[in-house]
Amino acid sequence: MTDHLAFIGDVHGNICALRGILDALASYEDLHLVFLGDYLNKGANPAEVLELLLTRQRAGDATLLAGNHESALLAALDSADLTSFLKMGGATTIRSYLRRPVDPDVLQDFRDHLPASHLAGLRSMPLVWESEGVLAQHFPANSAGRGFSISAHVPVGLLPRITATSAQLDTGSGSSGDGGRLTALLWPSCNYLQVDAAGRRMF
Amino acid sequence: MVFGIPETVVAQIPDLPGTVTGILIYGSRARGDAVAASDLDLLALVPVQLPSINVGAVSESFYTAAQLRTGISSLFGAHLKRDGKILRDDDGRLAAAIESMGQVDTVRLFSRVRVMSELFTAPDRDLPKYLPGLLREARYLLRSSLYAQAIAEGSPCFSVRELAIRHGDSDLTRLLASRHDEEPTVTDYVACQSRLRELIGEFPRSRHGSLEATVVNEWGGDTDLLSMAFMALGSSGGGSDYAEVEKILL
Repeated sequence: MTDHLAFIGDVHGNICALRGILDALASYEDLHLVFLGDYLNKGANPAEVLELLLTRQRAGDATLLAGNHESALLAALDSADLTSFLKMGGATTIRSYLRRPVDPDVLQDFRDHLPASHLAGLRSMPLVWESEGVLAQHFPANSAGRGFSISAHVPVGLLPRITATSAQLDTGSGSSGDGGRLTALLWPSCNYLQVDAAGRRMF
Repeated sequence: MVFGIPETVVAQIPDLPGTVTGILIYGSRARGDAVAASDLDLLALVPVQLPSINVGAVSESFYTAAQLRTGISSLFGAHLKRDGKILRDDDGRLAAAIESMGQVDTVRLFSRVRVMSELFTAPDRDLPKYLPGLLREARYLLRSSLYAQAIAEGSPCFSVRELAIRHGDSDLTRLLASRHDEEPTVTDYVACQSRLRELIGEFPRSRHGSLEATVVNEWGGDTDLLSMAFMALGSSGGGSDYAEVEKILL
């Protein structure tokens, strides 16, 4: 069976890496993309990342799962308390929507500049994707008896961790230092593709 | 008993991560002028940064060798060099790091404190939400400035109780204690600020208008002001979800 699914790990605001992985996956026909969450924070361009992802979702060829950074943003807006989101590095996300110094009332300024389509997109993200014996979600979980488990969230170094029953795909995209890599796992082959922080295809 | 530390305190020392290669005790327990309520301050040398641990009366901070190097010529470094007692040092690197700390640059310290005090000048927006963090930092800046003043005057002192005596200011001991069980109050905050102004002058006007805006606008800049603002958000929670900013070593 040819590969028809790709699972992509934490992007964390790196638009170059996201464009690079989408380019690398473009050569596969009829591939559905399942993004495993954490599109925001860390890297400098969360707003552009989310815009591109939502475009692909509307086109019907991508599913966007929620990560804890998306959940934290929604919790901040719902509770009118930015503290935890800022402690997670939410500053880069807020900056990417404003492109200028933020007003003293950060929450209001951010609310005024977060597009309704992005907010709706964030609110509609499911936590789990399950099909054809594959269980995909942001957090690693025990999926015993529910098939092959695919997750992200926990950094595993520059290479994904792939076993007979699971795959972990957070290879550090958006992080400082070496900038990490963005990984896509192809299904059912379990081959994987990677791009570096600049979006260049690895090996 | 090690250094006269009560067994009840020693028993509270948490298990240390396996990556620790050196441990040093500092503060009043190391100097030997601790009172019953004093904390046990421990510093552990690690290869990769870890969040601090506070358990009971024990406060354990983790530093990499690179972080310790930023303490050279700082008050923190001088304090460690003067009062610190090394309990464990697997490869001699902790002793070498402490030995290299050198003299405190008090002029530089006062100028850094002045920059950081900008964080205190948006009270209408910040105090309702961030008083605990801001009070903690006002204490830290006041305590550091008093230590630096004592050094600049040629009579170093890293004991809050002795500073209170020197300044004839009996409130200082309570005001500057590192651990506070009572609710933070605006009265204490104002008391710290007025004493700090006597040492460094008027605080700069807030350029960002709030603590949260300071975090957002200074983000990525690796500045003292960002570190201050970020830490004032509060230390609750912790864990791997949270971003790291540089520690402040005054």
